[in-house]
Amino acid sequence: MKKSIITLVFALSGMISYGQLYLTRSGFIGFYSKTSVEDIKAENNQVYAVVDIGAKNLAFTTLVKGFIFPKELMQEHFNENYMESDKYPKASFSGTFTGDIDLKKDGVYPVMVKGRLSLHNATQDVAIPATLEVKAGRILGQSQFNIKPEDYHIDIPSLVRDKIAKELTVSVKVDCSPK
Amino acid sequence: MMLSVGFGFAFYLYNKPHRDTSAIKAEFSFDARDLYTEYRRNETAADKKLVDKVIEVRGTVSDMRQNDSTADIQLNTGDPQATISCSFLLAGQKKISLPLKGGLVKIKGKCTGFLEDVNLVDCVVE
Repeated sequence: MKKSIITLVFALSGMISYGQLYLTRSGFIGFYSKTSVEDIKAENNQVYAVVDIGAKNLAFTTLVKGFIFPKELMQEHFNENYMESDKYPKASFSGTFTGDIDLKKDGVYPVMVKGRLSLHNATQDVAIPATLEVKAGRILGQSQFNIKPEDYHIDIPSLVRDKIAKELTVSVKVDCSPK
Repeated sequence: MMLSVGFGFAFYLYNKPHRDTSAIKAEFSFDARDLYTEYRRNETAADKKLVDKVIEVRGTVSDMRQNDSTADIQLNTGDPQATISCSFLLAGQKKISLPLKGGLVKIKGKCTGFLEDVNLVDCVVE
């Protein structure tokens, strides 16, 4: 897919504007793993997120190379061996949410997000609970969920398999402003 | 004896934190608008030339956000839909003074590619 999902959403929004589009280009996604051998932490602060409150769609996309690890060697391994970032530079999600949001009333609204998560040239259907908060004219999104590297054809050699948890915890935090 | 030196070095390599970008010489220097134009013209060629390289960008700040551990600065490209997006880690840096909106700034960082904006990470203000 040459064009990113966000470009598609922008193009769609250009045609049908409900005036309820919120976006950010500095959203946060972090993933974490804890084992007795090693703690892994990777954080990306350049995530694009678009939320269409009227149509109840959302899309996220980011560059895999934007995940920063405290240890440089780990980041290199992540990009070169596991994610093959030169071949598959982007990670993305596109889906819908259920739950009603009242834009006129500040507050935290629990929602259920369903969609397709793509990374490392593999796509999975996911269903993730999340919250959307209406705050001072912005939409704040938050979610936490687990993923298994194997689901995305990420091969971890048996020699290091103990260093990485079976499931990684993913944390998402976005602060979207009206388009 | 040699073995322990070997292990020591391996341990050092394994636990090495990020190189300080301010200590690395930039391979390319751009005006923010020109960097964006280069990517717009041919994304594949620009990626080949710039991804994983430390580059320098001069421009005016269109947006700036920071919290305790990170900061993000966006530079104007002339296109209202696109910016040069520069991500800073604050923990590792000595006292850092971030520029204000509208200010002119020179930033050095590692290019990670293009996604609506040209993205730079591990940034420092020059």
